[in-house]
Amino acid sequence: MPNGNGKIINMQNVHKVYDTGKVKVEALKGVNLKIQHGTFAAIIGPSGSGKSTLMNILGCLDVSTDGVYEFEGERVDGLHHNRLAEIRNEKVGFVFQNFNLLPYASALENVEMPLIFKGVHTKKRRERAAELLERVGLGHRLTHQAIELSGGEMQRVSIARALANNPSLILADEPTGNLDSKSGGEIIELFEELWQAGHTILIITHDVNIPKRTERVIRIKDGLLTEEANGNGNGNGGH
Amino acid sequence: MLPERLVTFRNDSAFVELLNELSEPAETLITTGLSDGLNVEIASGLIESTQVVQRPPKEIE
Amino acid sequence: MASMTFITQIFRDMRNQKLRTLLTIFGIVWGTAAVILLLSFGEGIQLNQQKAVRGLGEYIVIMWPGRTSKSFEGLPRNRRIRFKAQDAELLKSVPHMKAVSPEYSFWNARARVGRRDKLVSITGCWPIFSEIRNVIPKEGSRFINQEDIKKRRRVIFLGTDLAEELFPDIDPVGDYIQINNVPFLIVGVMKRKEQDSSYNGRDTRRTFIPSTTFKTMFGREYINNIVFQADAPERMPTVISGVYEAMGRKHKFDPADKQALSLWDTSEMETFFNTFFMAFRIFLGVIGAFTLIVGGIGISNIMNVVVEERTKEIGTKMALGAKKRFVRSQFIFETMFLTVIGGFVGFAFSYTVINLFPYLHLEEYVGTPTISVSVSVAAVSVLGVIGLVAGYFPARRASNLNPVEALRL
Ligand SMILES: Nc1ncnc2c1ncn2[C@@H]1O[C@H](COP(=O)(O)OP(=O)(O)OP(=O)(O)O)[C@@H](O)[C@H]1O
Ligand SMILES: [Mg+2]
Repeated sequence: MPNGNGKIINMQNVHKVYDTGKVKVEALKGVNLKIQHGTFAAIIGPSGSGKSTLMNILGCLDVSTDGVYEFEGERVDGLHHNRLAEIRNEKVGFVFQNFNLLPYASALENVEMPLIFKGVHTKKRRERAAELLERVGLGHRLTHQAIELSGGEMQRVSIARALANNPSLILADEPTGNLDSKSGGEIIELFEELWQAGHTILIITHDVNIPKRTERVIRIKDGLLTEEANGNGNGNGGH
Repeated sequence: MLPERLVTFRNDSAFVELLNELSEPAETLITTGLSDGLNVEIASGLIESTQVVQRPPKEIE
Repeated sequence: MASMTFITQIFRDMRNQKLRTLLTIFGIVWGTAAVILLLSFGEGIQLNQQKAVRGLGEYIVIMWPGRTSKSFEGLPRNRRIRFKAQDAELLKSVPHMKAVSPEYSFWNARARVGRRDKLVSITGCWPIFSEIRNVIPKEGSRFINQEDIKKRRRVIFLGTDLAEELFPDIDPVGDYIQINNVPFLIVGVMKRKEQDSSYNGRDTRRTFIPSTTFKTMFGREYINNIVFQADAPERMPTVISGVYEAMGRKHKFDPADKQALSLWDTSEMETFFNTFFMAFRIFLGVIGAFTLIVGGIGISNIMNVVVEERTKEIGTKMALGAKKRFVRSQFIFETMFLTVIGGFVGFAFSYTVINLFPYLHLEEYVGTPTISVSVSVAAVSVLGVIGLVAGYFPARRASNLNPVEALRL
C-alpha cells in the first residue's frame, strides 16, 4: 500500500472560492475529509451544494483556495500543473455524467487515451485497452466509434478508460444521471464489482438507490460535510 | 587537315586541345602548314586519328 | 510519442470538416505559390536582363579619344587626342588589365553577295575582341584569329542578322562576300545574343575583319576606339587610372585630365542593374511573403475556431492527464501539418507552372524562371516560421484552458 497510512485522501479545512470578478462564491467552506483505500462512498447533497467542486479538487482537476490536501501522503495544494496532470493520469480515474468520450474515436482509442499520456507503447496500450473493455463487457465493441454506442455502453467505455492506468481513486460525478434505470443499475453493479476487486470509488449522485449500496455516505450542504454512517461505514473524518 | 577554328594561335605558336589521361582537355603545341582560312595543314604535333577537343560556344550568363 | 494518434485525429478532423480544411490549406497553397512564383520569375527576369546587359560585354570599358582640358608641360589645352593600334598594344601592360583590343570602324561599306547588296558597317579588331565584347562564334564558326592578323587575311565574321539576310537559307561559312568589291572569305557567324545597349550599331548587324586587313584596305592610321576589360570587376577603377597614366605619358596629358579620354564603363551599368534587381526581388519576395502571411493568419484563425470547438475534448484530455505541453504540441503539430500539406501543394503547383512556362515562348521577355535553391530555402523558411507562429497562439490558448471550465460546456 502506498504512502498516507492507508489513507488516499486527507483534506483539512479545504476552501474553494470562485471569484467571477463581480461576485465571490464560496463553494467549499472548510471541508475535512479522510478516505481509506478500498472505500466505496456516495457523496450526496442538494444542487449547488459543492459536490462537483469537491470532486474536481479531489481529482486534482481544480485547486483549492485554502486548506491542506494530501493525496496518498503527497501535498497536492500548490503543486505544479505538470505534477497535477501526472496524478490525474496515474492515480485518478474520472467518470462523468455525460461520458466525455471523443465522439469519432473508437472505444479502443478512447480507452487508450490515458495510456498515451503516460507514454505506454502502442502494442501494450492496445492490449490493455482491449482487456479493460472486455472487463466492462464491451469485448465485442472495440472498434465502434463512441457515437455509435448506447448511453450505457458509453459509460462502460468511460469506466474502462478510468481504469486504464489502474488508479488509486475512481471519481464518478452522477454516472447514472444520463442513463435509464436499467443501464444505470448495471453501471452501479459494475462499480460494486470494481469495489469488490479492491478499487476505491467515490460516486456523486442524486440517485437514491446508490447510497443504500455504498459503505459510506458523505453528505454535503452549503459547502460543508456531514457524514451519515451506512452499513459498515465510519464516522465523520474516518479513522 | 584540321578545321582552323579548332586551332588557337598565340605568340607565333599554334595549339590544339586534346584529352589527357584524366580525360581533361589539355593544350598541345603543333606546327601548321598551309591554310585556306577554313582548314589548316598540320605539319607536326598531331597524329591524324587523334580527336581534337571541340568546345561548344560560350553561353552568356 | 503519440504522433500516430495525432495524425489519426487530424485526418479524422479533416474528413469531418472537408470544406474548412480545404479553405485553410488553400490559403497556404496560394501563399506558397506566390512566394515561389514571384521569386522564381524575379530571378528569371533578372538573369534574362543580365544576359542582355552582358551582350555588350562583361565589366568592360569602351574608350574614345577626347580633348585635353588642362595645359600640360607647356602644351596648350583643347588639344585633340587620337588613338593608334599601338595604344592598345601599350595598354596591355597596365596592371590588372585582362584584355584590350583596338576598334576601327567604317560605316556604309558596300557588301555584295551575288545580286544581294547591302550597306554594312565594318569593324577592324583583334581576336580578343570576341571575348571582351561577347561576340561569340556559333557552332562551326570561328572569330578572327592571330594568323588572320599576321597575314592580313581577307576573312570576315558576320553578325547574326546580317548573315541571315545575306544568306537566307545556307550556312555562309566558306562562302565569299564582296566588301567594296574586294572578296572576303566568311570564317564565322555570330551566335545569336540579346544586347541591351550598343555603340556603332548592334553586333548582329555588324561585320568584323582583322585590324591589319582593315588598316591596309581603308588606309587608316587612326583607330576609332579601344575596348578593354579588367581581370576582376572590382579592379576596374585601378585599371582605369592605369590607363590614364599610360595614355597621359604617351600622349602628353595630365592623368588627372578626365576630358582627354572619353570612357564608357559598363561595370557601372551592371552595378546599377544589380542594385535595381536586388530591390526588385526583395519587393517581389515581400509581396509573396505577405500573401503567405495572410494565409498564415487564415490558418491561425481557423485553428482558433478549432480550439473553440474542441474545448470540451481538451478538457477531457486534461482530466485524463494530458499535460499543457501535450495539448500545445498537438495544436502546433496540427497547424504545421496543414501548413506542410499546403506548402507541398503550393510547391507542386509552382513547379508545374514553371515547367509549363517555356511552352508559352516568352523567354525573350521574362527569361526562364527556375526554382533555385535560394528560392526554395526562402520559401521553406518563411513557411516554417508562419506555420509555427500560426500554430503557437491557438495552441497556447488551448493549453491554458481551465479543464473544469472546459468540461462544464
Ligand atoms: N466556475 C464557477 N464559477 C463561479 N461559481 C461556481 C463555479 N462553479 C461552481 N460554482 C458555484 O459553486 C457552487 C457549487 O457548485 P457545484 O457545481 O460544486 O455544485 P453541485 O453540488 O455539483 O451541484 P449539482 O448537483 O447541480 O451538480 C454553486 O453555487 C455554483 O454556482
Ligand atoms: Mg455537480
